[in-house]
Amino acid sequence: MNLNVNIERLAKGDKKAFKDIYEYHKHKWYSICLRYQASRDDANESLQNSLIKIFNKIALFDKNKGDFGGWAYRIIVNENLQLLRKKDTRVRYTENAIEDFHIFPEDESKNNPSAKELTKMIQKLPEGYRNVFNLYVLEGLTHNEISNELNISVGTSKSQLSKAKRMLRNKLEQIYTS
Amino acid sequence: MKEQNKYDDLESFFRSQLKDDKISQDTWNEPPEFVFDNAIEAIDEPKEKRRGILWIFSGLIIFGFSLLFLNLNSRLNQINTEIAEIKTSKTKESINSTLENASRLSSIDISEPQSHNDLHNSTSELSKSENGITNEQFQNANSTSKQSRVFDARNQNLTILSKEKSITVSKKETPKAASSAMTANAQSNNPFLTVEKLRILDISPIKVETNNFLFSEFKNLISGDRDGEISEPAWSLWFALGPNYTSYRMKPVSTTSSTKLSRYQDLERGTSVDLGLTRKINSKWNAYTKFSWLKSNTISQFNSKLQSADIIQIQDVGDMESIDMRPSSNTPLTSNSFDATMTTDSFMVDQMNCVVDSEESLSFLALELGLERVIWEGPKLKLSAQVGGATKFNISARQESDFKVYENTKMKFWSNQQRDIKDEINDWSFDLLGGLILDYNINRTSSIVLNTNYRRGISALNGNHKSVNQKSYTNILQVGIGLRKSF
Repeated sequence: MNLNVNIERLAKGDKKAFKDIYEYHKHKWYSICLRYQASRDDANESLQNSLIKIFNKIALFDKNKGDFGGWAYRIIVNENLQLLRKKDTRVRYTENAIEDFHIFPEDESKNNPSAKELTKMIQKLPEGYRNVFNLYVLEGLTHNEISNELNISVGTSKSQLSKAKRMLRNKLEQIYTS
Repeated sequence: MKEQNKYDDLESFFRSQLKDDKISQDTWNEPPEFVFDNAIEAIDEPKEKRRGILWIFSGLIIFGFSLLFLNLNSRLNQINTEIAEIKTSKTKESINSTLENASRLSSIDISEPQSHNDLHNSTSELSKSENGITNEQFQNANSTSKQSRVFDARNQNLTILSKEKSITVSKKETPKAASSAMTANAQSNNPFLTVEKLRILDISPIKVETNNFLFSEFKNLISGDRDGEISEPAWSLWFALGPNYTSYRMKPVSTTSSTKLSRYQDLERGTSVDLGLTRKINSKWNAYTKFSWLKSNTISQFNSKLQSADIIQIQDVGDMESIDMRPSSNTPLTSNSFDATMTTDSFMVDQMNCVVDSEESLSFLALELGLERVIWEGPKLKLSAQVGGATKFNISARQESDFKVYENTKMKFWSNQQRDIKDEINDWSFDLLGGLILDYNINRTSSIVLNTNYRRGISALNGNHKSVNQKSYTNILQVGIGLRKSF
């Protein structure tokens, strides 16, 4: 697939080109959504909204300023954060509690958790932890930037990161070193 | 031990494991097909919001053009009236002058009338006087506007009818022409021409009637009871500032969580700034458009009981001393979620009580169109009633919340939060309104204006949040005081 050609076609509103681009990136994009959202339904909604934004804003993409993957990545992360802000988090939080938090390693990765398992672990974090962990560890934002992004204090950001890491470490040790 | 170290550097571990190239194309991260299909469907859908705005602005443009045409028509009437008056005056002067000059002529050749045109020709000839009254002037006088000539054979009167005036020219009784019509075949340079037999009987005013092609059906409305004269200023511009009181009536609040509304201040107070433009239709009716900025705050308080089911997940935290959690409360417009740091001991209790005071600040731009009718007018005061429609656009919505959470003494924390909730609120809505306007005249063109109106939202300000009843209405009582300047 020639990505540049498809992007040019996409800029002209070619939905076939958009479909090609989507097919190429969909696993990565969906993984991001799964990391941020607690359920697949929310991840679906987030990806759907992200796709609409990518299609509508493709004219703003300047290939001289960066690659398409990075540009789309920021749109997807922003969309996920926006969706989280809109949601009634408490309801979802309660629903999460009903789901099992336990993650069982797949046989072949007993001592080496897969991306799927790590994503699932992140997904199962309480929302505040998950957001800060994603933004700090995986997106590389500073605590100041996170405090602005999530409207929380720097102290809260640090505290939540620390607790998220602690929770994940406990879980990893519990499952993979036992 | 090696594994232990690996997890100590947790950040690097996660980063390396979740790199793009490590994300395999597997079923777990395969999005369902309907996601893309739904996105394409949404892209193809016409955006109702934009369509709504388009309709509103189309309406405004039509209204604006209507006002422009009404104004143009009125101006044309005014100009036509003035032209007619000038020409009538000129006609009278010309004819009198002509007759005065012609009276010095010594003779007139009277013959049997050939036609009405002969008479016209005769009078035209008479206009060729020695004092420079030219034929052209007389023609102008005769052709002020569309005319018709009526010759009364019995009385030997020629009546020239125009829109502006009627002019009757009569021949004095003469034995020779007593029973005949008159044709004055005047010779301009004939010193013996006599025109004693011709005199202006009457130039009577005729009510002006114009036939402008624009909105001719409104001519009575425009001329009203002022006989075609628009002497008062037709436009007025006014500015007002004042409070508004808003009731959102957005109950019921969600039942999807255990959060319960304990207090809801139904009547909110805000500020409005209005800039209005009024066009006089006639002495009683005005059309107006108004541009307003409204700001209001909603204040509500919620009593939330966090059930043990909500906190069961946190029991997995092991030996942690405290944990953050994010319960939320639904406000009339959105959802309040907040961070609470609690000691782990708290998880042992069945429920915790939270009190959330929420304040939401909203700003709108409103465009209003309507009609005003004068219902009472005194020397200084004028009271008018108004009816109209308005559309409101939400330009900002902020949540300024103060959380207070109580659970024994083991819970700590609550913070003030400020966040933009504009995305969670529909951008625009439509209101019907009625109101009263009291004008106190300072002078002929200026007045102090006191305006009060009640607005009822039809497609009300709806939050996207499920706590909001989508069929709810907004009620706004708006009061303003300001100045009106007419021109």
